Amino acid sequence: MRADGAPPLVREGDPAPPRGTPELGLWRRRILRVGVALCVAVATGTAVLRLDDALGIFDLRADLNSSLTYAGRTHTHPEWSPAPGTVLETARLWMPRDARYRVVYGPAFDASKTGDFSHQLLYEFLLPRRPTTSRTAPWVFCYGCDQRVLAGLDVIAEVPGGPVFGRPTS
Amino acid sequence: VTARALVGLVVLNFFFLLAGAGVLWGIRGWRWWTELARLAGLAYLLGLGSLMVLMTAELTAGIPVTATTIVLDGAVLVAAGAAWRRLRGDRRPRLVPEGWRFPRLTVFVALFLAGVVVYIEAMFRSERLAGVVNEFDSWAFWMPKAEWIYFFGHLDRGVFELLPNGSYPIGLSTLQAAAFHAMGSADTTSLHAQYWFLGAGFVAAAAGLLVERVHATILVPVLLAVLVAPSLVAREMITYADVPLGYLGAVGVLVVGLWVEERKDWQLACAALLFAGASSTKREGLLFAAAVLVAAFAASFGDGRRSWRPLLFTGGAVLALTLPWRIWLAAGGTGIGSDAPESGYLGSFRHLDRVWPSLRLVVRTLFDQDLWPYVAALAVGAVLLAALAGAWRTAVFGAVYLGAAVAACSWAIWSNTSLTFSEDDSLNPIVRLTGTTILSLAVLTPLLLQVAWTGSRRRALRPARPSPGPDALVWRSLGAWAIVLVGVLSHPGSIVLGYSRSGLPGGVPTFPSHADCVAHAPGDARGHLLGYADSYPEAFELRRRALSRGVRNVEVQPDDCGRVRVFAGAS
Repeated sequence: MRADGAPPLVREGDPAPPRGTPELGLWRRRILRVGVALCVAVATGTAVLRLDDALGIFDLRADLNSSLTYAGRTHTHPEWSPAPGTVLETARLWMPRDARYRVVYGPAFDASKTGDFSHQLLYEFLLPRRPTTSRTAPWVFCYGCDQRVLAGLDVIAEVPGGPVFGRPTS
Repeated sequence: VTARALVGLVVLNFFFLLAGAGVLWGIRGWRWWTELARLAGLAYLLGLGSLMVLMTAELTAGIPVTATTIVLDGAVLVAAGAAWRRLRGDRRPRLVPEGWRFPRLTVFVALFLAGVVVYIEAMFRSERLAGVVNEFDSWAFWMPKAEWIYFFGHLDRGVFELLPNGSYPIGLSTLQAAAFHAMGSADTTSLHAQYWFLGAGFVAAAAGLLVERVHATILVPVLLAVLVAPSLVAREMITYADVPLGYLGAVGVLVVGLWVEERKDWQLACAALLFAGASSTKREGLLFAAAVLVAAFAASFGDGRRSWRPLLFTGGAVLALTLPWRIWLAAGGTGIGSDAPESGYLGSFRHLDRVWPSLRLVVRTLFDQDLWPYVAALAVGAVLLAALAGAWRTAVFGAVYLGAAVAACSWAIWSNTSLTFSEDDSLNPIVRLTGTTILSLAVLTPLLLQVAWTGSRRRALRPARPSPGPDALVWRSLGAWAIVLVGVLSHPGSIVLGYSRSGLPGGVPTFPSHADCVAHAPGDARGHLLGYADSYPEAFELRRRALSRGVRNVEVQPDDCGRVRVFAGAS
């Protein structure tokens, strides 16, 4: 290290100078340096002007997130999926952690048209309770099921036009 | 959402750093401990990449991934690194090189460094209390995979078949599962803080690799300019895989860019691990690995086999390290779905009408001023300047990487025929996809600008990092660190003073808990509270006991904090 604090002229381990680079003329060097200075100036300006926005967004999000309730943090917007706040929360509070549940899609269910994502959300939300395809599963979610299926269920929670959660009666 | 969860994450990320330091010690070593401090970010990312690859291989081989396995994996990496270095007979490192002094900063650099510090501190606070429920891909498949690995320690084809994008690699899910282990629960809210560590690790890695090669006056503003890019600010704390992929990929591109000039074996070894980690994070990682290898081939064209062999070996290593997941996926039939594009690999050539719109979309996104102002334009400018300076290797590397990355992203859009040509995230992932290219260009730009500034055969006769400004404005001093210290203290200061610039209440961090609902019980619960239960069966048992003791009108009602409240009604 030099006395003025600048790095030494050449240090062990310094990258080798680029090979095959011709000696640059004075004007070319000047153009290069002006170009680099311009690039650094643009980066500097962008950083200075945008830093305030970035910090503002971080602070705003911190503010919004800290004001969330348990439900706000745990369940999607009702407009995304009306079910979670009622059906899924009830299901989670009913089923033991080692429970297995079956998901039944009835004839009225159309995943491409439904605005209710809870049939996807429940896999994450209910873990460690596991989905199964077994017909003997003690818990059942029913999407778009008809009366014939529902007749065999002890319904615990439901959303009109949405999912039904219950236990098989037999 | 507890302090214990945050402490767990601190321990976990120190563990990643330690494991990565073991890997770095094995493949590179260091002469002084100050060198390790400089390369700590790289070590951290190497630890992440190596552990993700290792845990993915274990899960696909049927070895359960538990807290014990994760610790053992880290120990294996450290032991392997130490053993390899010992075999090579290297000496123990010393603390600092002879004549070392604490680095001096210019006021200009100190101001921007303080900006980076304030940014990183603010980033931590932004999403610490966020829910994943508004992050669609997260709850739809990233979290179920991670939670499954956390709870059960193995893979289940049946469950993966139920999830959208079940064929995505599981490297990130293993990392998230490790975070759950460290936090003590599947705390998807506190998981956001893990992304803060990833972001800080990326900044440290890029800065650590460049600080010896690029003057800080170039490096720090360029780094801050990309950090404040609106798209990065919006996405870096979301529990998706795109930004972590970008971190690993960008640092991988940087080390290959350094290799193009310096030809150190450790640089390609690092690149192989970083790109294996990136490919274990998202399948696009392989695309970016291919793009960077094409660029390195082009930049080393005149060197023949001497440079091609190590590059081919690096590409082979990346492929080999990502094979376990691909084999597991292929062995299960078509139930989980293929990770090939919708049109198939060769089938994409039946949709050539999509090529031009895809290319146009990628280029438009790359230069979108609302997403990442000036980042790509600066990179293009830096490539041209480096070429003008005659630094052909670095310039060709940067230019070909940009072209190859654009081509790779275009192919990804063109071959997935259901995607419309829009930057709307719900219709097309182009913005997330382009993020990796942007981060890569951002870390290459300072290097390109430096070679443009220095580009001369007489470079070695001059200071290693000549200052790109008048010395009167940029003299170095120890005192300039005081400016950085102010940045460091800004957020702890806002806690102590109870003031935050955007109207936040300030004060000590809060940790929401069930007690919030106890404190804010609704009006209809004003009857005599008997207790809270974690499930309906427990609540009914409490009600049965209350009724048996003669309490009347006992009611059971869910509270708003995930529990069931049992109370005796007023009438």
